[in-house]
Amino acid sequence: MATDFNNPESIIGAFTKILNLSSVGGPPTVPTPLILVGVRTRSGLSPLKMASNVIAGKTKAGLPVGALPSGGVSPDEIMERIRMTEIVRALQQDAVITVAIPPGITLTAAGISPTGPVTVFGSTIRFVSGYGVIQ
Amino acid sequence: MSLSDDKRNIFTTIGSYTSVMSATKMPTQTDIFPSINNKKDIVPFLLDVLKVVAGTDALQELTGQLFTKFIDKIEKPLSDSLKNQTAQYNAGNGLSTNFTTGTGIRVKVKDIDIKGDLKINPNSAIGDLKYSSTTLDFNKTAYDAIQNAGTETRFGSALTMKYDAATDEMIFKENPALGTTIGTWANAYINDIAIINKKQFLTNVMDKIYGTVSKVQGRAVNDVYNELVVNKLIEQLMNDDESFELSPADNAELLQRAEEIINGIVYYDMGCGVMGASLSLSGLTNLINSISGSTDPFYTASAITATIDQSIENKDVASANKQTIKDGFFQRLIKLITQALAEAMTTTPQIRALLSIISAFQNNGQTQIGNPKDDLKKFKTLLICVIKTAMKLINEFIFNLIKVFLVKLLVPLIQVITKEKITQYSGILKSLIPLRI
Repeated sequence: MATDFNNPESIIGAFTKILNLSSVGGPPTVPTPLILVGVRTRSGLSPLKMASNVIAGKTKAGLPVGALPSGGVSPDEIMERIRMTEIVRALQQDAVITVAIPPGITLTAAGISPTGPVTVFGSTIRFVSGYGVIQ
Repeated sequence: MSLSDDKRNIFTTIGSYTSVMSATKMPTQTDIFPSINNKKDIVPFLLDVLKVVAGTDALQELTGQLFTKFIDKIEKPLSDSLKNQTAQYNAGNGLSTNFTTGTGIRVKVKDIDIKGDLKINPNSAIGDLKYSSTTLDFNKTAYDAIQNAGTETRFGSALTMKYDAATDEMIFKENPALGTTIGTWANAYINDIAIINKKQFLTNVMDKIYGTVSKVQGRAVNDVYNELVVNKLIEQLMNDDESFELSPADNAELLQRAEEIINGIVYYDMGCGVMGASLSLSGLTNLINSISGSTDPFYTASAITATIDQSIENKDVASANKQTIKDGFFQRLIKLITQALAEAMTTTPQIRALLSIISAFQNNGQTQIGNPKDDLKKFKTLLICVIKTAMKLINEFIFNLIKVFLVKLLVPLIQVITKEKITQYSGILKSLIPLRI
Protein backbone atom coordinates (compact mmCIF):
# COMPACT_ATOMS: atom_id res chain seq x y z
CA MET A 1 0.00 0.00 0.00
CA ALA A 2 1.30 3.46 -0.88
CA THR A 3 2.59 5.60 1.96
CA ASP A 4 0.41 8.57 2.97
CA PHE A 5 2.98 11.27 3.73
CA ASN A 6 0.43 13.34 5.67
CA ASN A 7 -0.23 10.50 8.07
CA PRO A 8 2.32 9.83 10.86
CA GLU A 9 1.13 6.22 11.28
CA SER A 10 1.59 5.53 7.57
CA ILE A 11 5.13 6.98 7.57
CA ILE A 12 6.07 5.02 10.70
CA GLY A 13 4.61 1.89 9.03
CA ALA A 14 6.82 2.49 5.99
CA PHE A 15 9.93 2.68 8.20
CA THR A 16 8.89 -0.48 10.04
CA LYS A 17 8.50 -2.28 6.72
CA ILE A 18 11.99 -1.26 5.62
CA LEU A 19 13.55 -2.11 8.98
CA ASN A 20 12.06 -5.59 9.38
CA LEU A 21 14.45 -6.82 6.66
CA SER A 22 11.74 -8.84 4.93
CA SER A 23 13.95 -8.98 1.82
CA VAL A 24 16.28 -11.42 3.61
CA GLY A 25 13.76 -14.25 3.12
CA GLY A 26 13.50 -17.63 4.82
CA PRO A 27 16.00 -20.53 4.75
CA PRO A 28 15.66 -23.32 2.15
CA THR A 29 13.97 -26.56 3.22
CA VAL A 30 16.21 -29.38 4.41
CA PRO A 31 15.68 -32.49 2.20
CA THR A 32 13.36 -34.96 4.00
CA PRO A 33 15.41 -38.16 3.30
CA LEU A 34 18.46 -36.44 4.74
CA ILE A 35 16.55 -35.64 7.93
CA LEU A 36 15.29 -39.21 8.23
CA VAL A 37 18.76 -40.63 7.82
CA GLY A 38 20.80 -38.01 9.61
CA VAL A 39 18.71 -37.22 12.65
CA ARG A 40 19.45 -40.63 14.24
CA THR A 41 23.16 -39.86 14.29
CA ARG A 42 22.83 -36.63 16.25
CA SER A 43 23.94 -36.61 19.87
CA GLY A 44 21.10 -34.44 21.22
CA LEU A 45 21.34 -31.34 23.41
CA SER A 46 23.96 -31.18 26.15
CA PRO A 47 24.00 -28.20 28.55
CA LEU A 48 27.58 -28.94 29.49
CA LYS A 49 28.68 -28.99 25.86
CA MET A 50 26.78 -25.77 25.14
CA ALA A 51 28.27 -23.98 28.16
CA SER A 52 31.78 -25.10 27.22
CA ASN A 53 31.21 -23.89 23.64
CA VAL A 54 30.17 -20.46 24.94
CA ILE A 55 33.27 -20.33 27.16
CA ALA A 56 35.42 -21.40 24.20
CA GLY A 57 33.82 -18.62 22.17
CA LYS A 58 34.78 -16.15 24.90
CA THR A 59 38.38 -17.31 24.60
CA LYS A 60 38.29 -16.77 20.83
CA ALA A 61 36.91 -13.27 21.40
CA GLY A 62 39.85 -12.53 23.68
CA LEU A 63 37.75 -12.31 26.84
CA PRO A 64 39.17 -13.67 30.12
CA VAL A 65 38.10 -17.19 31.10
CA GLY A 66 39.00 -19.61 33.88
CA ALA A 67 39.44 -19.11 37.62
CA LEU A 68 39.42 -15.64 39.16
CA PRO A 69 42.72 -14.16 40.42
CA SER A 70 41.50 -15.10 43.92
CA GLY A 71 41.30 -18.73 42.83
CA GLY A 72 37.50 -18.81 42.99
CA VAL A 73 35.34 -20.07 40.14
CA SER A 74 34.22 -17.33 37.76
CA PRO A 75 30.56 -16.44 38.54
CA ASP A 76 30.10 -15.69 34.85
CA GLU A 77 31.03 -19.26 33.91
CA ILE A 78 28.82 -20.69 36.65
CA MET A 79 25.98 -18.61 35.25
CA GLU A 80 26.69 -19.96 31.77
CA ARG A 81 26.28 -23.50 33.03
CA ILE A 82 23.07 -22.63 34.92
CA ARG A 83 21.66 -20.77 31.91
CA MET A 84 22.36 -23.57 29.44
CA THR A 85 21.02 -26.22 31.81
CA GLU A 86 17.73 -24.34 32.15
CA ILE A 87 17.44 -23.61 28.43
CA VAL A 88 17.93 -27.27 27.57
CA ARG A 89 15.61 -28.41 30.37
CA ALA A 90 12.89 -26.06 29.14
CA LEU A 91 13.34 -27.20 25.55
CA GLN A 92 13.31 -30.88 26.49
CA GLN A 93 10.62 -30.85 29.15
CA ASP A 94 8.38 -27.84 28.48
CA ALA A 95 8.51 -27.23 24.75
CA VAL A 96 5.58 -28.37 22.67
CA ILE A 97 6.30 -29.29 19.07
CA THR A 98 3.33 -29.42 16.77
CA VAL A 99 3.82 -30.43 13.18
CA ALA A 100 1.14 -29.22 10.78
CA ILE A 101 0.74 -31.26 7.62
CA PRO A 102 -1.34 -29.73 4.85
CA PRO A 103 -3.82 -31.70 2.72
CA GLY A 104 -2.71 -32.81 -0.73
CA ILE A 105 0.09 -35.18 0.31
CA THR A 106 0.21 -37.81 -2.42
CA LEU A 107 0.07 -41.39 -1.26
CA THR A 108 0.16 -44.93 -2.56
CA ALA A 109 -1.62 -47.56 -0.44
CA ALA A 110 -1.91 -51.31 -0.76
CA GLY A 111 -4.94 -53.34 0.40
CA ILE A 112 -7.19 -56.26 -0.29
CA SER A 113 -10.63 -56.23 -1.93
CA PRO A 114 -13.07 -59.12 -2.54
CA THR A 115 -11.49 -59.47 -5.93
CA GLY A 116 -7.97 -59.63 -4.59
CA PRO A 117 -5.08 -57.23 -3.72
CA VAL A 118 -5.51 -53.60 -4.81
CA THR A 119 -3.22 -50.59 -4.97
CA VAL A 120 -4.70 -47.16 -4.31
CA PHE A 121 -3.21 -43.89 -5.51
CA GLY A 122 -4.46 -40.61 -4.06
CA SER A 123 -3.80 -37.70 -1.78
CA THR A 124 -4.72 -36.64 1.75
CA ILE A 125 -7.73 -34.36 2.02
CA ARG A 126 -7.46 -33.00 5.59
CA PHE A 127 -5.08 -30.98 7.67
CA VAL A 128 -3.16 -33.31 9.97
CA SER A 129 -1.11 -32.49 13.03
CA GLY A 130 1.69 -34.43 14.69
CA TYR A 131 3.70 -33.96 17.88
CA GLY A 132 7.32 -34.31 18.90
CA VAL A 133 9.89 -33.73 21.62
CA ILE A 134 13.30 -32.10 21.55
CA GLN A 135 16.09 -34.33 22.83
CA MET B 1 15.61 -36.68 43.97
CA SER B 2 15.58 -36.88 47.73
CA LEU B 3 12.91 -35.34 49.94
CA SER B 4 15.32 -32.62 51.01
CA ASP B 5 15.97 -31.76 47.35
CA ASP B 6 12.23 -31.44 46.76
CA LYS B 7 11.84 -29.17 49.82
CA ARG B 8 14.80 -27.07 48.73
CA ASN B 9 13.29 -26.80 45.28
CA ILE B 10 10.05 -25.37 46.70
CA PHE B 11 11.92 -22.54 48.47
CA THR B 12 14.12 -21.68 45.50
CA THR B 13 11.16 -21.77 43.10
CA ILE B 14 9.09 -19.40 45.29
CA GLY B 15 12.13 -17.13 45.64
CA SER B 16 12.71 -17.11 41.90
CA TYR B 17 9.04 -16.34 41.11
CA THR B 18 9.13 -13.43 43.57
CA SER B 19 12.30 -12.18 42.00
CA VAL B 20 10.96 -12.51 38.45
CA MET B 21 7.72 -10.71 39.35
CA SER B 22 9.56 -7.77 40.84
CA ALA B 23 11.74 -7.66 37.73
CA THR B 24 8.71 -7.46 35.42
CA LYS B 25 8.28 -3.84 36.45
CA MET B 26 10.74 -2.44 33.96
CA PRO B 27 12.17 1.01 34.64
CA THR B 28 10.45 3.82 32.74
CA GLN B 29 12.28 4.56 29.52
CA THR B 30 13.70 8.03 29.05
CA ASP B 31 13.15 9.19 25.49
CA ILE B 32 16.24 10.90 24.13
CA PHE B 33 14.22 12.25 21.21
CA PRO B 34 11.35 14.56 22.12
CA SER B 35 9.75 13.82 18.74
CA ILE B 36 8.72 10.37 20.07
CA ASN B 37 6.02 11.95 22.20
CA ASN B 38 5.00 14.50 19.60
CA LYS B 39 1.95 12.82 18.12
CA LYS B 40 1.17 14.84 15.01
CA ASP B 41 4.19 16.83 13.84
CA ILE B 42 6.05 14.40 11.61
CA VAL B 43 8.98 16.58 10.47
CA PRO B 44 10.82 16.57 13.86
CA PHE B 45 10.47 12.79 13.93
CA LEU B 46 11.88 12.47 10.41
CA LEU B 47 14.79 14.74 11.34
CA ASP B 48 15.54 12.64 14.42
CA VAL B 49 15.49 9.46 12.32
CA LEU B 50 17.80 11.13 9.80
CA LYS B 51 20.23 12.09 12.57
CA VAL B 52 20.24 8.53 13.93
CA VAL B 53 20.79 6.95 10.51
CA ALA B 54 23.27 9.38 9.01
CA GLY B 55 24.55 11.59 11.82
CA THR B 56 23.88 15.26 12.44
CA ASP B 57 25.83 16.34 9.35
CA ALA B 58 22.95 14.94 7.31
CA LEU B 59 20.84 17.91 8.47
CA GLN B 60 23.23 20.19 6.59
CA GLU B 61 22.96 18.02 3.48
CA LEU B 62 19.16 17.95 3.78
CA THR B 63 19.04 21.74 3.99
CA GLY B 64 21.09 21.96 0.80
CA GLN B 65 18.77 19.48 -0.90
CA LEU B 66 15.64 21.32 0.23
CA PHE B 67 16.98 24.60 -1.16
CA THR B 68 17.86 23.03 -4.51
CA LYS B 69 16.30 19.75 -5.60
CA PHE B 70 13.16 20.16 -3.50
CA ILE B 71 12.06 23.71 -4.21
CA ASP B 72 13.06 23.42 -7.85
CA LYS B 73 10.40 20.76 -8.46
CA ILE B 74 7.42 21.59 -6.24
CA GLU B 75 5.89 24.48 -8.18
CA LYS B 76 3.57 22.28 -10.25
CA PRO B 77 2.13 20.14 -7.43
CA LEU B 78 1.59 23.25 -5.31
CA SER B 79 -0.04 25.03 -8.21
CA ASP B 80 -2.30 22.02 -8.95
CA SER B 81 -3.34 21.83 -5.30
CA LEU B 82 -4.22 25.52 -5.26
CA LYS B 83 -6.29 25.10 -8.44
CA ASN B 84 -8.15 22.12 -6.96
CA GLN B 85 -8.91 23.95 -3.75
CA THR B 86 -10.09 27.16 -5.38
CA ALA B 87 -12.39 25.30 -7.78
CA GLN B 88 -15.69 26.02 -6.02
CA TYR B 89 -19.32 25.19 -6.78
CA ASN B 90 -19.49 28.41 -8.83
CA ALA B 91 -16.46 27.59 -11.01
CA GLY B 92 -18.66 27.26 -14.09
CA ASN B 93 -20.41 30.62 -13.56
CA GLY B 94 -19.45 33.63 -15.56
CA LEU B 95 -17.41 36.34 -13.88
CA SER B 96 -19.47 39.10 -12.27
CA THR B 97 -19.74 42.35 -14.22
CA ASN B 98 -18.33 44.09 -11.16
CA PHE B 99 -15.06 42.22 -11.74
CA THR B 100 -15.06 42.47 -15.52
CA THR B 101 -16.43 45.87 -16.50
CA GLY B 102 -17.63 47.36 -13.20
CA THR B 103 -15.85 49.07 -10.34
CA GLY B 104 -13.76 46.00 -9.44
CA ILE B 105 -13.06 44.23 -6.15
CA ARG B 106 -11.61 46.52 -3.50
CA VAL B 107 -9.19 45.19 -0.88
CA LYS B 108 -7.18 47.07 1.73
CA VAL B 109 -3.48 46.83 0.85
CA LYS B 110 -2.62 45.96 4.46
CA ASP B 111 -4.97 42.96 4.22
CA ILE B 112 -3.04 41.40 1.36
CA ASP B 113 0.43 42.64 2.33
CA ILE B 114 0.86 41.24 5.85
CA LYS B 115 4.66 41.68 5.92
CA GLY B 116 4.83 45.09 4.28
CA ASP B 117 6.70 43.67 1.26
CA LEU B 118 4.91 45.97 -1.18
CA LYS B 119 6.45 49.03 0.48
CA ILE B 120 9.98 47.98 -0.41
CA ASN B 121 11.69 49.80 -3.28
CA PRO B 122 12.75 47.21 -5.88
CA ASN B 123 15.91 49.21 -6.55
CA SER B 124 17.10 48.95 -2.93
CA ALA B 125 19.36 46.19 -1.60
CA ILE B 126 16.38 44.51 0.10
CA GLY B 127 14.22 45.06 -2.96
CA ASP B 128 16.75 43.12 -4.98
CA LEU B 129 16.15 40.15 -2.65
CA LYS B 130 12.41 40.56 -2.39
CA TYR B 131 11.40 41.08 -6.02
CA SER B 132 12.07 39.06 -9.12
CA SER B 133 13.57 40.98 -12.00
CA THR B 134 13.47 38.09 -14.44
CA THR B 135 10.02 36.52 -14.06
CA LEU B 136 6.46 37.76 -13.71
CA ASP B 137 6.17 38.85 -10.09
CA PHE B 138 2.89 39.76 -8.39
CA ASN B 139 4.69 41.83 -5.73
CA LYS B 140 6.57 43.85 -8.34
CA THR B 141 3.37 44.54 -10.30
CA ALA B 142 1.53 45.52 -7.10
CA TYR B 143 4.43 47.80 -6.12
CA ASP B 144 4.28 49.49 -9.53
CA ALA B 145 0.51 49.89 -9.19
CA ILE B 146 0.95 51.54 -5.78
CA GLN B 147 3.59 53.88 -7.18
CA ASN B 148 1.27 54.79 -10.05
CA ALA B 149 -1.93 55.29 -8.06
CA GLY B 150 -5.04 55.54 -10.22
CA THR B 151 -3.44 53.74 -13.16
CA GLU B 152 -4.55 50.26 -14.11
CA THR B 153 -1.60 47.86 -14.17
CA ARG B 154 -1.82 44.45 -15.81
CA PHE B 155 -0.56 41.31 -14.05
CA GLY B 156 -0.18 38.33 -16.37
CA SER B 157 -3.07 37.15 -18.49
CA ALA B 158 -5.89 37.31 -15.95
CA LEU B 159 -5.70 40.35 -13.70
CA THR B 160 -5.40 44.11 -13.60
CA MET B 161 -4.87 46.12 -10.43
CA LYS B 162 -5.28 49.80 -9.60
CA TYR B 163 -4.29 51.52 -6.37
CA ASP B 164 -6.66 53.97 -4.70
CA ALA B 165 -4.38 56.18 -2.58
CA ALA B 166 -7.28 57.88 -0.81
CA THR B 167 -8.55 54.65 0.74
CA ASP B 168 -5.27 52.66 0.60
CA GLU B 169 -7.10 49.99 -1.36
CA MET B 170 -6.16 47.86 -4.32
CA ILE B 171 -8.86 47.45 -6.94
CA PHE B 172 -8.73 44.12 -8.75
CA LYS B 173 -10.43 43.54 -12.09
CA GLU B 174 -10.28 40.85 -14.70
CA ASN B 175 -8.06 41.38 -17.69
CA PRO B 176 -10.82 42.19 -20.20
CA ALA B 177 -9.13 40.17 -22.91
CA LEU B 178 -9.67 36.93 -20.95
CA GLY B 179 -13.51 37.02 -20.67
CA THR B 180 -14.37 33.61 -19.21
CA THR B 181 -15.77 31.67 -16.22
CA ILE B 182 -14.71 31.92 -12.58
CA GLY B 183 -12.93 28.55 -12.69
CA THR B 184 -11.01 29.35 -15.86
CA TRP B 185 -10.07 32.77 -14.49
CA ALA B 186 -8.74 31.24 -11.24
CA ASN B 187 -6.68 28.70 -13.18
CA ALA B 188 -5.24 31.40 -15.44
CA TYR B 189 -4.33 33.54 -12.41
CA ILE B 190 -2.66 30.60 -10.62
CA ASN B 191 -0.74 29.78 -13.79
CA ASP B 192 0.59 33.35 -13.81
CA ILE B 193 1.85 33.44 -10.23
CA ALA B 194 5.05 31.80 -9.03
CA ILE B 195 4.14 30.21 -5.69
CA ILE B 196 7.81 29.58 -4.97
CA ASN B 197 10.09 32.31 -6.25
CA LYS B 198 13.43 30.84 -5.23
CA LYS B 199 15.16 34.10 -4.36
CA GLN B 200 12.20 35.38 -2.35
CA PHE B 201 11.79 32.02 -0.65
CA LEU B 202 15.45 31.82 0.38
CA THR B 203 15.36 35.41 1.62
CA ASN B 204 12.21 34.72 3.61
CA VAL B 205 13.68 31.61 5.27
CA MET B 206 17.02 33.25 6.09
CA ASP B 207 15.23 36.34 7.43
CA LYS B 208 13.19 34.10 9.70
CA ILE B 209 16.41 32.92 11.28
CA TYR B 210 18.57 36.08 11.20
CA GLY B 211 15.99 38.89 11.00
CA THR B 212 18.43 40.86 8.83
CA VAL B 213 15.82 42.12 6.35
CA SER B 214 13.24 42.90 9.02
CA LYS B 215 15.80 44.97 10.92
CA VAL B 216 16.91 46.99 7.87
CA GLN B 217 13.28 47.33 6.79
CA GLY B 218 12.54 48.89 10.22
CA ARG B 219 9.52 46.70 10.89
CA ALA B 220 7.49 47.32 14.04
CA VAL B 221 7.65 44.65 16.73
CA ASN B 222 3.88 44.33 16.69
CA ASP B 223 3.83 43.61 12.93
CA VAL B 224 6.43 40.88 13.31
CA TYR B 225 4.64 39.50 16.35
CA ASN B 226 1.34 39.31 14.44
CA GLU B 227 3.10 37.56 11.58
CA LEU B 228 4.60 35.03 14.00
CA VAL B 229 1.18 34.45 15.57
CA VAL B 230 -0.30 33.67 12.14
CA ASN B 231 2.61 31.31 11.43
CA LYS B 232 2.11 29.58 14.77
CA LEU B 233 -1.60 29.12 14.07
CA ILE B 234 -0.74 27.70 10.64
CA GLU B 235 1.69 25.32 12.35
CA GLN B 236 -1.13 24.24 14.64
CA LEU B 237 -3.40 23.67 11.63
CA MET B 238 -0.65 21.54 10.09
CA ASN B 239 -0.76 19.40 13.23
CA ASP B 240 -4.57 19.06 13.18
CA ASP B 241 -5.02 21.55 16.02
CA GLU B 242 -7.95 23.77 15.00
CA SER B 243 -8.34 25.57 18.32
CA PHE B 244 -6.89 28.85 16.96
CA GLU B 245 -5.71 29.56 20.50
CA LEU B 246 -2.18 30.22 21.73
CA SER B 247 -0.99 29.49 25.24
CA PRO B 248 0.50 32.32 27.35
CA ALA B 249 3.88 30.57 27.04
CA ASP B 250 3.59 30.54 23.23
CA ASN B 251 2.64 34.21 23.23
CA ALA B 252 5.60 35.15 25.41
CA GLU B 253 7.96 33.14 23.20
CA LEU B 254 6.62 34.74 20.01
CA LEU B 255 6.92 38.22 21.48
CA GLN B 256 10.51 37.55 22.48
CA ARG B 257 11.29 36.17 19.03
CA ALA B 258 9.65 39.23 17.40
CA GLU B 259 11.97 41.47 19.46
CA GLU B 260 14.97 39.42 18.32
CA ILE B 261 13.92 39.60 14.66
CA ILE B 262 13.45 43.38 14.57
CA ASN B 263 16.84 43.73 16.22
CA GLY B 264 18.37 41.27 13.73
CA ILE B 265 19.58 38.90 16.43
CA VAL B 266 19.60 35.12 16.49
CA TYR B 267 20.58 33.08 19.53
CA TYR B 268 22.57 29.93 18.79
CA ASP B 269 22.03 27.02 21.13
CA MET B 270 25.36 25.77 22.49
CA GLY B 271 23.85 23.03 24.66
CA CYS B 272 24.82 24.67 27.94
CA GLY B 273 23.93 28.23 26.98
CA VAL B 274 23.09 30.50 24.08
CA MET B 275 25.16 32.89 22.01
CA GLY B 276 23.79 35.99 20.29
CA ALA B 277 24.71 36.52 16.64
CA SER B 278 23.68 38.66 13.69
CA LEU B 279 24.21 38.56 9.94
CA SER B 280 24.80 41.79 8.04
CA LEU B 281 22.69 42.72 5.02
CA SER B 282 25.75 42.39 2.79
CA GLY B 283 26.35 38.90 4.23
CA LEU B 284 22.76 37.92 3.53
CA THR B 285 22.79 39.48 0.04
CA ASN B 286 26.00 37.62 -0.86
CA LEU B 287 24.51 34.37 0.38
CA ILE B 288 21.22 34.73 -1.51
CA ASN B 289 22.96 35.82 -4.71
CA SER B 290 25.38 32.91 -4.54
CA ILE B 291 22.83 30.17 -3.82
CA SER B 292 19.64 31.32 -5.54
CA GLY B 293 20.90 30.12 -8.90
CA SER B 294 22.65 27.03 -7.56
CA THR B 295 21.47 23.48 -8.18
CA ASP B 296 24.29 21.96 -6.13
CA PRO B 297 22.98 20.97 -2.66
CA PHE B 298 26.48 20.65 -1.17
CA TYR B 299 27.59 24.07 -2.37
CA THR B 300 24.34 25.58 -1.05
CA ALA B 301 24.67 23.83 2.31
CA SER B 302 28.28 24.94 2.80
CA ALA B 303 27.43 28.55 1.83
CA ILE B 304 24.69 28.55 4.47
CA THR B 305 27.05 27.00 7.03
CA ALA B 306 29.52 29.80 6.36
CA THR B 307 26.93 32.35 7.57
CA ILE B 308 27.23 30.86 11.05
CA ASP B 309 30.88 31.93 11.21
CA GLN B 310 30.09 35.28 9.60
CA SER B 311 27.40 36.02 12.17
CA ILE B 312 29.46 35.28 15.29
CA GLU B 313 31.77 37.79 16.95
CA ASN B 314 33.31 35.58 19.63
CA LYS B 315 35.02 33.06 17.36
CA ASP B 316 36.77 31.18 20.20
CA VAL B 317 33.57 30.30 22.07
CA ALA B 318 31.88 29.46 18.78
CA SER B 319 34.75 27.26 17.71
CA ALA B 320 34.53 25.22 20.91
CA ASN B 321 30.80 24.66 20.38
CA LYS B 322 30.78 24.56 16.60
CA GLN B 323 29.07 21.19 16.10
CA THR B 324 26.33 21.90 18.66
CA ILE B 325 25.64 25.31 17.14
CA LYS B 326 25.56 23.82 13.66
CA ASP B 327 23.18 21.00 14.62
CA GLY B 328 20.74 23.36 16.32
CA PHE B 329 21.01 25.85 13.46
CA PHE B 330 20.12 23.36 10.74
CA GLN B 331 17.35 21.73 12.75
CA ARG B 332 15.82 25.18 13.22
CA LEU B 333 16.39 26.13 9.60
CA ILE B 334 14.58 23.03 8.32
CA LYS B 335 11.62 23.81 10.57
CA LEU B 336 11.58 27.36 9.18
CA ILE B 337 11.65 26.00 5.62
CA THR B 338 8.45 24.07 6.33
CA GLN B 339 6.98 27.23 7.86
CA ALA B 340 7.98 29.36 4.85
CA LEU B 341 6.50 26.75 2.53
CA ALA B 342 3.16 26.84 4.36
CA GLU B 343 3.35 30.64 4.30
CA ALA B 344 3.93 30.65 0.51
CA MET B 345 0.68 28.72 0.11
CA THR B 346 -1.40 30.84 2.48
CA THR B 347 -0.30 34.37 3.38
CA THR B 348 1.77 35.93 0.58
CA PRO B 349 0.22 38.95 -1.20
CA GLN B 350 -0.56 36.94 -4.35
CA ILE B 351 -2.40 34.23 -2.35
CA ARG B 352 -4.20 36.80 -0.19
CA ALA B 353 -5.27 38.57 -3.41
CA LEU B 354 -6.61 35.26 -4.78
CA LEU B 355 -8.54 34.59 -1.55
CA SER B 356 -9.95 38.11 -1.58
CA ILE B 357 -11.15 37.75 -5.19
CA ILE B 358 -12.68 34.27 -4.93
CA SER B 359 -14.39 35.23 -1.67
CA ALA B 360 -15.85 38.27 -3.44
CA PHE B 361 -17.28 36.01 -6.15
CA GLN B 362 -19.43 34.38 -3.45
CA ASN B 363 -20.37 37.63 -1.75
CA ASN B 364 -21.75 40.06 -4.31
CA GLY B 365 -18.34 41.46 -5.16
CA GLN B 366 -17.42 42.25 -1.54
CA THR B 367 -14.17 40.65 -0.39
CA GLN B 368 -14.24 38.54 2.75
CA ILE B 369 -10.62 38.86 3.79
CA GLY B 370 -9.50 41.09 6.64
CA ASN B 371 -7.47 40.21 9.71
CA PRO B 372 -5.17 37.29 8.72
CA LYS B 373 -5.87 35.50 12.01
CA ASP B 374 -9.63 35.59 11.40
CA ASP B 375 -9.09 34.55 7.79
CA LEU B 376 -7.43 31.35 8.95
CA LYS B 377 -10.78 30.38 10.45
CA LYS B 378 -12.83 31.62 7.47
CA PHE B 379 -10.76 29.79 4.88
CA LYS B 380 -9.81 26.91 7.17
CA THR B 381 -10.76 24.04 4.86
CA LEU B 382 -9.04 25.50 1.81
CA LEU B 383 -5.91 26.44 3.78
CA ILE B 384 -5.63 23.06 5.52
CA CYS B 385 -5.80 21.29 2.16
CA VAL B 386 -3.12 23.41 0.48
CA ILE B 387 -0.87 23.26 3.57
CA LYS B 388 -1.24 19.47 3.65
CA THR B 389 -0.12 19.29 0.03
CA ALA B 390 3.00 21.28 0.91
CA MET B 391 3.71 19.18 4.01
CA LYS B 392 3.15 15.95 2.10
CA LEU B 393 5.78 17.00 -0.41
CA ILE B 394 8.37 17.92 2.22
CA ASN B 395 7.67 14.79 4.32
CA GLU B 396 8.06 12.59 1.26
CA PHE B 397 11.28 14.33 0.27
CA ILE B 398 12.86 13.87 3.73
CA PHE B 399 11.57 10.28 3.91
CA ASN B 400 13.19 9.44 0.55
CA LEU B 401 16.51 10.92 1.69
CA ILE B 402 16.35 8.80 4.87
CA LYS B 403 15.52 5.77 2.73
CA VAL B 404 18.75 6.27 0.76
CA PHE B 405 20.77 6.32 4.00
CA LEU B 406 18.82 3.34 5.38
CA VAL B 407 19.56 1.28 2.27
CA LYS B 408 23.27 2.08 2.69
CA LEU B 409 23.02 0.86 6.28
CA LEU B 410 20.86 -2.21 5.65
CA VAL B 411 22.45 -3.69 2.51
CA PRO B 412 25.66 -4.79 4.33
CA LEU B 413 23.53 -5.99 7.25
CA ILE B 414 21.34 -8.07 4.94
CA GLN B 415 24.48 -9.52 3.36
CA VAL B 416 25.77 -10.57 6.80
CA ILE B 417 22.43 -12.11 7.77
CA THR B 418 22.24 -13.96 4.44
CA LYS B 419 25.75 -15.29 4.96
CA GLU B 420 24.77 -16.34 8.49
CA LYS B 421 21.74 -18.21 7.14
CA ILE B 422 23.89 -20.00 4.56
CA THR B 423 26.35 -21.02 7.29
CA GLN B 424 23.49 -22.24 9.49
CA TYR B 425 21.97 -24.25 6.63
CA SER B 426 25.30 -25.74 5.78
CA GLY B 427 25.77 -26.64 9.47
CA ILE B 428 22.38 -28.38 9.56
CA LEU B 429 23.20 -30.38 6.44
CA LYS B 430 26.61 -31.39 7.77
CA SER B 431 25.10 -32.43 11.09
CA LEU B 432 22.67 -34.73 9.26
CA ILE B 433 25.30 -36.46 7.16
CA PRO B 434 26.67 -39.31 9.27
CA LEU B 435 29.81 -39.92 7.23
CA ARG B 436 32.35 -37.43 6.06
CA ILE B 437 32.05 -37.05 2.32
